Amino acid sequence: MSFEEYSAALDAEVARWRADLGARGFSDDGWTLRGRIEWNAPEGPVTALIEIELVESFPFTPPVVRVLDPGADIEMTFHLAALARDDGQGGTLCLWDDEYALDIAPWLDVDTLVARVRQWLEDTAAGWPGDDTCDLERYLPPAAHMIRYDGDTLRDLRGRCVRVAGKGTPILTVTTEQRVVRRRRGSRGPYRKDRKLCWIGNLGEIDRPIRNWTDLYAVLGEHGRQVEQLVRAGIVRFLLLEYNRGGASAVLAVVVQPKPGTSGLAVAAAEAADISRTSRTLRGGHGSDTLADRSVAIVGAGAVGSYVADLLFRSGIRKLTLIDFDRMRPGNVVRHTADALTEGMFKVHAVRSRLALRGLDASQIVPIVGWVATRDEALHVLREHDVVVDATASDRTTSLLVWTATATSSPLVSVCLQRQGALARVDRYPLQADEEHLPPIQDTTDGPMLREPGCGQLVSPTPPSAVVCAAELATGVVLDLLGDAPNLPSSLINVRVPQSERPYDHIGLVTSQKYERAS
Amino acid sequence: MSTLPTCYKDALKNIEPGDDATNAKDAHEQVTKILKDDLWLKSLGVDPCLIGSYARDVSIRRVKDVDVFARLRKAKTDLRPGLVLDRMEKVLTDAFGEDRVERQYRSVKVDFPDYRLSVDAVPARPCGDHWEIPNRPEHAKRAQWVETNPIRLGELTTEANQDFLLNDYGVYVPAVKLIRQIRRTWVDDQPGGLYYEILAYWAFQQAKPSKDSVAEYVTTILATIADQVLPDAVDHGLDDPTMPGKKISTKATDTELQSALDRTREAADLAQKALDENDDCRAALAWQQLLGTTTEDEVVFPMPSYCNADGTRQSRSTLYTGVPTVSAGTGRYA
Repeated sequence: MSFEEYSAALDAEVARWRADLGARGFSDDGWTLRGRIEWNAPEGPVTALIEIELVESFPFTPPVVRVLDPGADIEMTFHLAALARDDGQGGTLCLWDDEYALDIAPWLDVDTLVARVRQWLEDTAAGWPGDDTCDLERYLPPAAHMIRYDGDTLRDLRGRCVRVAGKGTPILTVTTEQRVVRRRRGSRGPYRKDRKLCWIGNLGEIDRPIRNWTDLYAVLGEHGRQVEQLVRAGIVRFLLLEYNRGGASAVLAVVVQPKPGTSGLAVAAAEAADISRTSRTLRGGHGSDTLADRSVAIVGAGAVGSYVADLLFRSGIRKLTLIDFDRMRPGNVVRHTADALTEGMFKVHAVRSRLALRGLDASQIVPIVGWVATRDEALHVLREHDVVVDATASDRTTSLLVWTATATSSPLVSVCLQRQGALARVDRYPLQADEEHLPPIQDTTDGPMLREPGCGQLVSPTPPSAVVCAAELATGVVLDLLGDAPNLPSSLINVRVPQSERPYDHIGLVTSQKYERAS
Repeated sequence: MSTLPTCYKDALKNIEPGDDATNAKDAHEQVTKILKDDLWLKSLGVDPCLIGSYARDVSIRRVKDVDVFARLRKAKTDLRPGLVLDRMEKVLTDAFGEDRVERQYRSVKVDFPDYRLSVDAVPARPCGDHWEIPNRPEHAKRAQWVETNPIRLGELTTEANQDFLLNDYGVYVPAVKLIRQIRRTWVDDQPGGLYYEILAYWAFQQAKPSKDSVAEYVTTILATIADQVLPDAVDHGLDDPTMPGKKISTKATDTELQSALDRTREAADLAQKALDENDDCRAALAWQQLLGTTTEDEVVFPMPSYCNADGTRQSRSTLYTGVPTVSAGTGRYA
């Protein structure tokens, strides 16, 4: 079927959907549908008038539903989209928080949609018991700011005014530097440094949305008056407010300032962004918090080594030693994790600067411009780290590291790509009893190699995607070794392009375990 | 029942004047400025305003003429129609050139060839609560003043559009546009669009409909016109809603009126058939026949994308019943 035919079939379903609502008494002017639904208000059954609008993204997203008349005296509180009036009327209902695939989207069944609206009204009337959705910013007009703060420091700053970095820009950072109260001679108003500060507070349990200054003043309780004075004096412009709902906690960031031409205060919601280490490592993967004290050395900070470093760092490894003597060349950038701004830098410094930009603790990344060329150097690096990664693809260096690792029973992971990126390979050393590595892969490359103009160095045609593939494989093995019960095989080969000989004639993972069984 | 609301929404878009609206506004402003700048007309208190279907927002594509009502607020009872028309012809000819200006029996017509439309400037003098415009009855040698109240018709249109609603928006104006389009499709030149607009006005007043879709409004109003308002008008003349006791004049002959009645009945039957149809595609074909094409030969009522042009349904299975569209399943991250 063509796209037009697919669209036509979808149009037919949407028309049937509209007709289904029409059959339930909804009027339809082609823009919106309006109809009545019965629901159980606290005082008994009532009828609500609702309006349904099909947005452009329908049916992939739910229709927009508004309550024109709930039919009972209820206060619209939570689960309303923006643009609601102060009393909550006119807002669109948030009926489904989750996304659904088109084939199972519940709103496509009009009975389910109507039942959902009915449930929404009944939950609203009941005050949303047990609801732990923390989305207070939804009910305020949006401000253009993002306010960054360190969530680990908020508790100690409650009730204080702190300075804000980045004033005049849309991205502000709340500092821990507190305002110094001092009198200013000969002039009115606070010092420039003491203007537009951020007040930190805790609102406790919230049972209704905040839609304006009056609502905010009420929930600020005993602090309301003080905060209002600080805002009107130009001392405070931003509020960072911790709050709880149904056991969950969150932070609301707001911008408060006098409304021009009136005596009122305007409140807008900024985007609050926690920059604490806790927040930054939340997405590091299972067990990432246990990896901060483990150490890994990566010998070779080329394309694969740089990505291994990046993935291990993001996964929670903070103690990283990077060893390489090479500099970044313009041609490296395509496959390397570092960008063109690092051209000319030593690769270990380029990788470190790249990792430091992630906002995590990069203080324990040690860049070493050098190489591992002697037994002592190999011994030192293996003894000082929990795992060493050999990402050199140098026969001389790899054999030195493997020899030393075997002799000292130190964990070593050697990673490489073969056959122009067709095979990504990782071997773990030393072997345990009854283990074997997969057989060596013979290089079958023929034809002319690539050469970079000017320097005459040979350039491998391995593509960037293969680099990432090999790095991912190596990272998995390193994390396995650092875990409680390592169990990955001694060799892993990811076949990216099928080869002529078995067992590499199919795309997929070949391991030493499978190979042994097959043999 | 098949009301096809989104197709009706598109049909209404298709008969909107489009660029004509901008051009009409500009043409009207040019003529108005010339009339207001003339000292003699100024001494008569000239105060032009827009009237006609375009002013009432019930015009449909294409807008070929725009009426400017040149109210002469200080005109006395002894002012002859011919004198005013002479003066208007002169000032407009001076401004736009002989080729573009044409004197008519009750107005002066100015052509705007670039816009493919014309402006009819009609002089009017006060007469109590109403206005009088030139007219020359058959057999009369000279033009006379006759009573009219085009501004009141605009007010009635606004009121009706506030009285008859669909989802809180006025449905009278869109329905009148569709009735005018149906007239254009089904009836010969006469009776004209204004006549059917008045028929629709009385049909709304008599039926007082309250419906859930544009399709139902159109069907009801068309049936009321065919069964009640038009037969009565053929027999007794069509009442002018702006002036009690007066009738709407029409150039249509008795034969043309009878023919219009027959054709309107056919159209009303077709609308009812379309509304009663359970299959969207067959219904769409009927609605399409009812609304015809624009003056530029474009189909007014679009066929739904899932229908063939002959009113059959495209043989496609439904897209999202039982066929997963996300093969990888749930819990994905990207």
